[in-house]
Amino acid sequence: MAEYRKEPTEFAEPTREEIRARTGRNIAIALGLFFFLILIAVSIVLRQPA
Amino acid sequence: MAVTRVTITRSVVSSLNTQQEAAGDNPAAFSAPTGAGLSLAGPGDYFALMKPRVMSLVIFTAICGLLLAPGSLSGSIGFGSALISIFCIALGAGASGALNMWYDSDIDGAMARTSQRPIPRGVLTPRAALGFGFVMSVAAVWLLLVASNWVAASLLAFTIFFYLVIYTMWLKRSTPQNIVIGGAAGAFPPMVAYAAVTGTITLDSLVLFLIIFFWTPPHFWALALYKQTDYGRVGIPMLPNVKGAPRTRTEIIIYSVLLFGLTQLPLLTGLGGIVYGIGNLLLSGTFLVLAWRVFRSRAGDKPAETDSDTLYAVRNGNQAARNLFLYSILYLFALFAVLTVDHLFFAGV
Repeated sequence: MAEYRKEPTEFAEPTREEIRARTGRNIAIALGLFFFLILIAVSIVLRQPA
Repeated sequence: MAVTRVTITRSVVSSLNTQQEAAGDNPAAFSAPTGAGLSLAGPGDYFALMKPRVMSLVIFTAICGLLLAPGSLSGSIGFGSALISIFCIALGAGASGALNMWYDSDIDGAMARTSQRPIPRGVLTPRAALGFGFVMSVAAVWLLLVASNWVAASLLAFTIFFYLVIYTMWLKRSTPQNIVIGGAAGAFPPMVAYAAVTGTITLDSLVLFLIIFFWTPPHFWALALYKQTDYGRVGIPMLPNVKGAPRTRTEIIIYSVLLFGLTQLPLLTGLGGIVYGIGNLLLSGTFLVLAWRVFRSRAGDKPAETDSDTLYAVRNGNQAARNLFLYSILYLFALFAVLTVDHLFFAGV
């Protein structure tokens, strides 16, 4: 059975700076989406008639 | 008024040898020479796309617009919804800034004032700015619709459209009157906030719009007078480059007089009282004096065309223009602050 998991054998290794920047972006996107969902939920609740 | 149309195409600046031009939309060109070609942009670079300094003025005028709306304090919108509405307006303004930087990425690198933005610095690709701006625009309008009403959300959507399409894509590169009409984009935020409370557009919110609308030309033209080489280098037809400095100085004083008149309107509509009247007289009076000094000066004149005696006069004139530009920022903050304080604490005086 052919083993594909080790392919491709040649690929560009991200530098430490690249990984750090990507992690920063990922965290910011996650926090942004979470914050956005919270705001949507709060807005819907606030608009409910008392 | 006959408007001289100066068609500036993107080819005018196509020769700019910026890093962004060389890189195009290839993220690899923006990252370190080695590595996987991933972007090195961090959250701070995306935040810089949103023009935080412009956003601060938008947020402030929007808060004032919200507080000036009838019923804002009596609970017709609620504190939570009011906060979210202001957040949406700020987000919408930031999204407009990102979309503006996407479209202007071909010229920003050649202007000293904009050369340190994330795209010309080579930190972000134009496509990343476009995607970010688009997503933020949709999020801001949608959230405002949920938090307040369709009038405010529609106004915010129109503001983003106006800033990107009408101003950035069309007027900015085609007419020296670009910032006169384009200034409307910056004048909408208090109107949006007002609509978030009331769900309507009223004479009072229109007055707030008009004050910022007529404030914009003297504010920007003062900057353009002493920064005209920056705009000229990339072919942006600002009034001083196209019509000359004397015409610009004349239009500055005309718009300043109109602004002085318009700032009296809140007294007539009842939005402002005696405290605003006195405060406005001082603030707008000073504005008028500074505009008059620019009008009487040699600001923006080309020193090469003058002899050594007048070189000093031109330098003084440029200083007068700089003073007007800096004061105009403080002026708008102070004017809206006085109007809001008067309306909230001295109503009926």
